[in-house]
Amino acid sequence: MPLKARILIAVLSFLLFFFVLNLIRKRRMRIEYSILWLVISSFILIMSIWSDLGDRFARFMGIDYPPALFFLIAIFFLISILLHFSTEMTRLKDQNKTLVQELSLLKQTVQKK
Amino acid sequence: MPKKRCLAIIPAFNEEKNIAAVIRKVKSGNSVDDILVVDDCSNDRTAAVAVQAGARVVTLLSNLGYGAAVETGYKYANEHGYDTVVQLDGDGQHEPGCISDLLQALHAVPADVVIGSRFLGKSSHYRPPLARRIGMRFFRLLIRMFIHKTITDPTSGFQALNRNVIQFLVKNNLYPSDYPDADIIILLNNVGFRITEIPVVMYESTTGKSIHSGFKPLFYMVKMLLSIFSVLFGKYRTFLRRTDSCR
Repeated sequence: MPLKARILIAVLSFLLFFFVLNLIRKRRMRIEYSILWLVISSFILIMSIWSDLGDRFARFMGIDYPPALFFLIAIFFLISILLHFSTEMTRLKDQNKTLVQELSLLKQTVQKK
Repeated sequence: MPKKRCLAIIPAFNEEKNIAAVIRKVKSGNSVDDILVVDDCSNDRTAAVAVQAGARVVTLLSNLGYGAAVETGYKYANEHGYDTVVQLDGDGQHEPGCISDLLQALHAVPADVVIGSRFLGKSSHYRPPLARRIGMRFFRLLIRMFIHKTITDPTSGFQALNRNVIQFLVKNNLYPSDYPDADIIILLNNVGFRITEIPVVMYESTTGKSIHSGFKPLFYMVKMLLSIFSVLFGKYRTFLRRTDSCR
């Protein structure tokens, strides 16, 4: 990969890393969610600095165009994050349903309709 | 032995026009002790009308869907120690006169779940649209495959259940939030509950917007198949055992 592109990617992943850290600092993101993002941004950073690694692995896998491997890995990470969100959403919806039901029942008992 | 207490659960969403008549008819049938209307966060005066008609009303603080509304009724029944529960829709499509038949079947058969079917018996004039008929046929087939029993109207929201079923459903948080159907029937059968079906009278929904309609049929089919999959291979799978074995 050309040096300029590598620098750009390195800077971007660096920014992402510190943006996530800042979110934790301000308590706007839970630690358990931040870990995945920190892993991803450091992974991108390593790949951009040590791009030989990506190139070699791509060639080993039989991929002629090394950046394609980069995209493949990126998409994989994105999908796993989205899946994680879906399961979290399910959990939240379940909790919300139970809360609404129990609160509504309580309210009925209190008001004795 | 104390007298068996029965609760009628009526889930309702925007039914201010029909709910009073339904409550009155259920009351005059004299086969239930109390009536609970679960108002699924209606935009109209459903709750007020129901209170006026003499029912107990739980108003959900946000719209949760048909299944979650019914489940709220189960929770109420469980907390207040009712022995049996009858559920019917708030739009008047289920004839309250059939409640006593459902309750009687519960004790006479005996069964844990009695489903009121609009297809059994002579009074079945109801012919759903083609797409829905195919879907119903399909799920009927699946049910027969998995529980070796014919349930003609698995979607029916006109049912009677006893305390054991209610307790099981509430405790395990198993009731689907949207539309319970073949999935819950297979599940209850797998766990060992006895399910039976009797004919009841049903009318075309007067408001036209039945709580079961407005669903994209294909999406519904896929959703239900996945739900059945989760029942068959989930925590309560018993498909490898004999299905006629008891709990």
